[in-house]
Amino acid sequence: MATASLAAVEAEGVGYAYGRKRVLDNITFRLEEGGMFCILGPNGSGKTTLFKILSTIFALQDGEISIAGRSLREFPTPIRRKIGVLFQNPAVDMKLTVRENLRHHGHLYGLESHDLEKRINKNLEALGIEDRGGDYVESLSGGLRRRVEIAKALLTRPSILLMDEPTTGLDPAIRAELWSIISGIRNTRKLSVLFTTHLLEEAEPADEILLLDQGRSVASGPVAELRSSLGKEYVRLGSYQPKKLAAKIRREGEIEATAEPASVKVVPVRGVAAPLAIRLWRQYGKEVTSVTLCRPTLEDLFIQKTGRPWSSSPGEI
Amino acid sequence: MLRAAYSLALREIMRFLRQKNRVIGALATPVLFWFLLGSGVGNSLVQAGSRDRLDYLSYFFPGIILMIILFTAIFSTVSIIEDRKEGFLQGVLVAPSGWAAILFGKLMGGAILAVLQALTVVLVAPYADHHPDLRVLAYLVAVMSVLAVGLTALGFLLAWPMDSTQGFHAVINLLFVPLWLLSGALFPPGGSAEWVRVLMRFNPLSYAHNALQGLLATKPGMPLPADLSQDFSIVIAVTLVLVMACAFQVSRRS
Repeated sequence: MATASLAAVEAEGVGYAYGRKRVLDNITFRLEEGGMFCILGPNGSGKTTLFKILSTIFALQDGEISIAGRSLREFPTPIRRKIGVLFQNPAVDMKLTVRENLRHHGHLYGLESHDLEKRINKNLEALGIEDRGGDYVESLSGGLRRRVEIAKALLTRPSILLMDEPTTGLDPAIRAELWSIISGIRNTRKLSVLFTTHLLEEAEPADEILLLDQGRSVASGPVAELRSSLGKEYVRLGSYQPKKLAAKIRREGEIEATAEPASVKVVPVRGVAAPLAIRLWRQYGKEVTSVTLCRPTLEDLFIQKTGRPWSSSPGEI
Repeated sequence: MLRAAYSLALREIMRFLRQKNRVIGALATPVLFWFLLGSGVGNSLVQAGSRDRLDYLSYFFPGIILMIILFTAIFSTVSIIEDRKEGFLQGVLVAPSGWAAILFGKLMGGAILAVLQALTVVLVAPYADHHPDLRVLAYLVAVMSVLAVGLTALGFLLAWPMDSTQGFHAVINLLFVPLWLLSGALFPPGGSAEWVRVLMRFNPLSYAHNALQGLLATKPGMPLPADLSQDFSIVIAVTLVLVMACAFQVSRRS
């Protein structure tokens, strides 16, 4: 069925294998024009391989991808003009200054000197690094280097920005700062954004996510929809004796109580969770250390779909 | 494409000049070699034969130029491995300029550095009893340029599929050093064992060495060496084959 809006990226049945080892299988998703899309998965889930296919580094093996309305298989070069790419590893030359790096990048895209200098100034300003133009990249902090990379990716005025684990190695404060810069840029330019991450909280601001595990799509769709598909809000009671407490609550009937390490998860069969939280606090106040009103998270979704906690994906210690 | 290649070549040169230890190492090593070997071996030869000391310093001079070009060309291709590891290469690979820009940028960058360094050493040629005039100098630059492109291409060919610089150093010792040793840079083929002479005949660097040696020995006003055109043609042909092999390798996408 035809949709009203245009797709910035559309992938259909994408698969990839390194030799005989299959790392991606039947991946399908769609990034709307102007939207923000997140490929979320633990390490080793195939995110980076998918990213390398999208950024034209790896040749597409199975399936079809269209970017900015063109087939990736047939037109990789025109697509390269439409995408700005931010790799997980820094793709800037440490021995050059910020400005030299941007100038070099512009030359790779055939930009000419006057227009190029104007664009460099504009992008340095947009990223708040206009005073660092003459500094060697190796002298900058991790957060500032990432800003240089973003300025570089945006220099060629792409319509789609692709970012592979853009905040890797940055501390939480710098990470938050970087995201606010990216969202600021999205507001001022018509830009579709696709990024990968293994951090659950980073996926939240995306319009839609694709949850990957071991090269397969586990779930996809708008974050809010995925969450509501998990069921309702619940109450978590902190407890030193979760088993005993869970059994006690279950005896009440019309209530589900599951013992988890150091807490009990209580889901109302009828009604909403908030009044239940207050009642449980009153009733069991002496036996619990805390009462938390919870909404299902993406982590719950991952656990439900794969049966494993997020932190322990296979192949990881 | 040209702008992209030019920009990549310029980057190569800027990187080189900003790493002072690389500049010093690249210039001082061959001169030190020349002086130590030239002086040391030179005296031994005096005892063995009839030549005086300056003769070996003078004999060894073209070999040193060959060494500079060889090592600069090769060390500038090490950067391919570093670029790949650090991620810089990815950024270039996703640019619309394509593989040709990467190849020609690297070849030009490496070759320009090699020729410039070789020329700085040519400046001291009179001390080795070589007196090139402008005509000879022009031919020297031509031979050195083609040679530098060829050797950078050889380095590129070997560095492209590698993922560690250690592996590349092994290749340097195993391939490039013998190529240099068996080019006539250290000893003329005349007095060596038969099998060594055969190896030297099949070593393309021998022809480059012969061309450089002949040119440097040409005193002002003398005609150019008779075998220059043959030597130079071989160097050009081998360079073309190497550049084409590089193009074939880079144009295949992973």
